Amino acid sequence: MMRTIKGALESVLAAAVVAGAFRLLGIDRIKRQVGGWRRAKGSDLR
Amino acid sequence: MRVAVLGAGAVGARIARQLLSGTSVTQIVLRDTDADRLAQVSKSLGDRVIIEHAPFNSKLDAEVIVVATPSGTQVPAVVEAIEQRRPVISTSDSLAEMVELLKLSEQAQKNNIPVVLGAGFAPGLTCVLASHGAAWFDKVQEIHISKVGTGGPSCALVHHRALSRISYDWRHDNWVRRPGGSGRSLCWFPEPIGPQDCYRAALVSPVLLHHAFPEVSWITARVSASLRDRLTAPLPMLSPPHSEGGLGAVRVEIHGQRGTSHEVSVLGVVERPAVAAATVAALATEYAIAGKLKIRGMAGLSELVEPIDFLHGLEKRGLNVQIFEGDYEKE
Repeated sequence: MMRTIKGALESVLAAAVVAGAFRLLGIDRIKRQVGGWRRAKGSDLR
Repeated sequence: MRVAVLGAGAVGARIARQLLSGTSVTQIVLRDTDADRLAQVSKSLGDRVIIEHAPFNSKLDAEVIVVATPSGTQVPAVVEAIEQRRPVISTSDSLAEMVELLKLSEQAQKNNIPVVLGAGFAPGLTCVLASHGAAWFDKVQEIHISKVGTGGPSCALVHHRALSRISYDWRHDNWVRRPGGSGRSLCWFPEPIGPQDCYRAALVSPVLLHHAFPEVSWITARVSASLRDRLTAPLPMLSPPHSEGGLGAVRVEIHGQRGTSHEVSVLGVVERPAVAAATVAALATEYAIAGKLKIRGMAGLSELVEPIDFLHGLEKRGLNVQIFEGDYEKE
């Protein structure tokens, strides 16, 4: 039982370390958007 | 001009209201199977509405027929309208039903009447945006549609089922079949919706867009979904669908050649899906009344309307197009 719990905790810790490493390297699942939305104006609808 | 609106739900009732607010429609025949709902809706529509509830005995006495009944129930009404040689506007967003409707294409062409398929938020507005955006390019290579949100209960049910069924994307002269709920892609919608994880699903847009743009080599459609949506998609809906969803959005991403450079344009709209669908369907109906639909036969709005004129019409009704400016990283 203890071995199972220890194994699970180790897995969670390993996943957190890997995720942290990716984040430090700037590799993120959320791709960044540079810019924004604006309402279409006259010249866009010609 | 007398128009028949079949279905008095979240979309149908609004279509009736919008048509009555203009001058081209003098009377509306509003049909629904639910007498209580009809009574409730007719109270706010005034005396220019004739309500009819099931069982429907008489033939439809109207010049244009709008079919806004739940997806999956529209084929008989469209068949009847084509037989009566009446222009039809269908709001269906079900892929299976769209395939059935397209089988009537030859009949519609033979009877020389326009049949508008998928006159709603997505498909519908997305088709017009794609048509408008495509005009900015010398050659369009890719069109990617994504959608967030649902309208009435029928729309919520279609969304639920679509995530567990096979999706069809058009890629390099072939329909590519993939399981619904796969292919996560982060899509940025106009504010306040923002970024949403979107997935493949059994959606209609690629079918209609491929019909309109046969030369485009890659056409996809995705829908926003939560983890719970995807996990429960193969099951019946665990709780009854909401009467109407909240704010939604559509996004149309177009890749192509402009001169010698490869460019991307992204257009979007934020609105409650049922409101936007009704606005699009009502305007398409007015086009049918005015004889402004470009072809006789069955097609989506990409082929049937002049996009700039249509978008101006939508703008007057409060549906505003947004354009993305900047760079983004495609996932």
